Amino acid sequence: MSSPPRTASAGGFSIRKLRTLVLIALVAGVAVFTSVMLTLVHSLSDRFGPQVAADLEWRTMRGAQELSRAVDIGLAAEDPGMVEEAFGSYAASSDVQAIVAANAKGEVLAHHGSIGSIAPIWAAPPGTLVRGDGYIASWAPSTIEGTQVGKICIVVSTGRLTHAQALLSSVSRTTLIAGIAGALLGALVILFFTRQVRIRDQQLADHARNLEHKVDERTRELDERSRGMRLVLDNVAQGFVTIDLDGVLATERSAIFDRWFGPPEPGATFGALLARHDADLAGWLALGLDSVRDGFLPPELCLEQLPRRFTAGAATFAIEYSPIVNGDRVERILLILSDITERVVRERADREQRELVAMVQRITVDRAGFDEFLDEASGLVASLATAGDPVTERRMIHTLKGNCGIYGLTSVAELCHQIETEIADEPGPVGEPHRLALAEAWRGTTARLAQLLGIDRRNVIEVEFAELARVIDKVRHGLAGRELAAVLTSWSHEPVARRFERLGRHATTLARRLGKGELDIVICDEGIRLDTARWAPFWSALVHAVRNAVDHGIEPPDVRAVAGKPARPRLTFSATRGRGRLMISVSDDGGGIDWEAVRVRARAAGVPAESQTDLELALFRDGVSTASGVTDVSGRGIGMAALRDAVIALGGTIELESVTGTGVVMRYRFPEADGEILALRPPTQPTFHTA
Amino acid sequence: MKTHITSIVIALCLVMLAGSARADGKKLVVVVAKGSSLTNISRAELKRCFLGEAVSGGGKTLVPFNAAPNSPDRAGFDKAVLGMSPDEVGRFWVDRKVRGQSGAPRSLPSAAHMAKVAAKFPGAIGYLPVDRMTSDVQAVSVDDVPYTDKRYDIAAQ
Repeated sequence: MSSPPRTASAGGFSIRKLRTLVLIALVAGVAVFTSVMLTLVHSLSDRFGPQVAADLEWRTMRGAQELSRAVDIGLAAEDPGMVEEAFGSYAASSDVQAIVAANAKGEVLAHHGSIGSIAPIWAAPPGTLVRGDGYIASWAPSTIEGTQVGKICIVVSTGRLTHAQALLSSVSRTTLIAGIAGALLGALVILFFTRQVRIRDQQLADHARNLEHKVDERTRELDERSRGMRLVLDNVAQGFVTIDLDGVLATERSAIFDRWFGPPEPGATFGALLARHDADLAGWLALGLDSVRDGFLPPELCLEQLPRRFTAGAATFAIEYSPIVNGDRVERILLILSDITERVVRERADREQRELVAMVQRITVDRAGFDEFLDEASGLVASLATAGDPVTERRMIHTLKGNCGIYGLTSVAELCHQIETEIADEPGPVGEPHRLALAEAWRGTTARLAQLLGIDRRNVIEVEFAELARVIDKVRHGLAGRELAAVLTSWSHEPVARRFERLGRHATTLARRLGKGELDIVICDEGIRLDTARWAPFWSALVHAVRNAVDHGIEPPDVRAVAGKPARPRLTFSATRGRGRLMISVSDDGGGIDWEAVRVRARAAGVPAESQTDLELALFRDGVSTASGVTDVSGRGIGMAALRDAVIALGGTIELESVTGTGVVMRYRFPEADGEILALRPPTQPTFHTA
Repeated sequence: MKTHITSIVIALCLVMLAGSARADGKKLVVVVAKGSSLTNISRAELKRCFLGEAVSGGGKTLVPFNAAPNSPDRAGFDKAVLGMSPDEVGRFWVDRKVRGQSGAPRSLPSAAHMAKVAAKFPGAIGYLPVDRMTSDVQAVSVDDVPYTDKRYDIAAQ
């Protein structure tokens, strides 16, 4: 895997070539610069040297002329002070080396500065330049009105010219030396840096070799780990696979995943896999992934809401989601799929077993009631097998749910609740899949019950020994045959007390489940019996009133304690007769009806809610409920409408009495049917049933 | 008689006062080098000489030298000899310069210079306050009136 050392290069050139090029460029650049500078210096010297010389010559000539005029009076007066005063600014000039003034006789009258010998200068013609060692000089006669009064000589030093020429020469030398030194220094610097680059190249090459070696080692380790991981993934019993936030499956996954679902196409999504088995779950997954991508909600919460279980063919799979995060951001999601088919079957069997035990307990307590429940529930399921009026269908499902709940058929009750939830927003009839599911569930339930109950279970009449003893006693005391026949006929009717007891047990169970505490059930039946078949719809619908009383009416224990009420809520069932009418009432000592809530719900449902009568009528309308939410107990606003219809079907009326903070009494008044309602024993005090 | 005597005394006093008043502007003595043969010059020649015309005297062409411009000596001489005020003298020489004619006589910065130049320069003629006379120069009468004469009217202003 190791490769031979490579020569570092830059832009296609080796460092050596690059160094040569840079050196050549540097030397050429410095040479050009130096040449230009020397040319400039020589140009300056050529240009300014003669100018300085001409300037000095001009000053000498003009100085002699000007001084000859300035000193004429002083010379004429032969006054040295006056002559020296007339020297003026010339005497102050640094260029002027000497000024000599002589009178008409040639005698030096005044002078400034010094000069070795003035004679050669006087010997030259006036107005001409005399060049000496380090000076130039000129003299001029001084006259007044044509009469020469003397002469004056000015000697100007050429030191300034010499100094300028020396300075320019020095600049030339310095430039040349600087150019050469710059070239040498640049070459040294380039050599130094290129050497450092070469050393660095060598170090980089060493590092690269070391890195390649480490990469090889790490690659081998990763290969071994990958083989180990692959071995795990090929043999693990769970499906491990990661998806990105668009649901695209990773290529790496456990082998069992492919055995379960087949190898997915590259780029396939888990949503597409789900959609092959359940389109709704696929949509659910897509929504969840959207919320994870949005990042608005915590990722754990989003993942918690994703589908947890799905069925593929005969198998059921559980899905667990584990976020793979980078910092605070979820990058991928690990899916852990488990085949839970056997567990589901086992759970179903356990559940059926629990249901069976519950039903046995119910049958033991109230065999007749259970038979009647089975008959009614079978009738409801049979009615739901074909499409009918949507409102009626919803009432039937609701009633079936309530009754199944009472008798412990929780699987059917939950199925009903699930169907209610799914069709809540659909105005049409119940869908065919729901009908089939309900029929299938009921078929399984009745099959299990048939083994338990036998076939001839309905040819039995229940008579209490006390009642039988009273009838025997009346016969011994001469009860007429016609009256005896009526009594015996009434035995085929159902005692109201049985119904009240069933409702009481249901209320007690429900109160425990809802955390309302233990109930005191009070029953007052006056020994009344009613035709089982004719009154069955009423009793079925009355369940909803009882559920409402427990769910909405009776307060939780802490609220009751604050209100100063007894710790045990009381629920009273009463059946009385008189003046040809039968009255059945259910009362509780809860908080009463929240009429404002009813008003709000009624208005929301488009139902009149102005008067108290409007509110009472609204309470028994479809879709109006005081519950804040839908539960498996109540809240859909269906049950009370079913109860209203059942009462009307029996020719009865409903009276509602609600006192805030005290409770609710619902009275149902019915006309007596001929020979139907019998009271064989005198009215008794209310019987208290405590669970 | 007494009245006449009084009048005469008063008149003499007035004459003396007048003489003393003229003596307040110091007399300017026209001078040349000592030993020069020029002892007298007419006022007209003196004027021509100081107006740039060639005038000979004592066997030499006279070279005039003026006192410093704006000095009392110069103003008095110009007024008395040239009959011009300083402004008129200035305009006269500007006009001469414009015409390309000779310039004004050289001006000397002080009476001492005047005395030296007059004494040393051959043909030089100038003027000095009477109290600045030196032994190297000699006075020249003007129109035969020596400076000691009361009629001598060339004085500084």
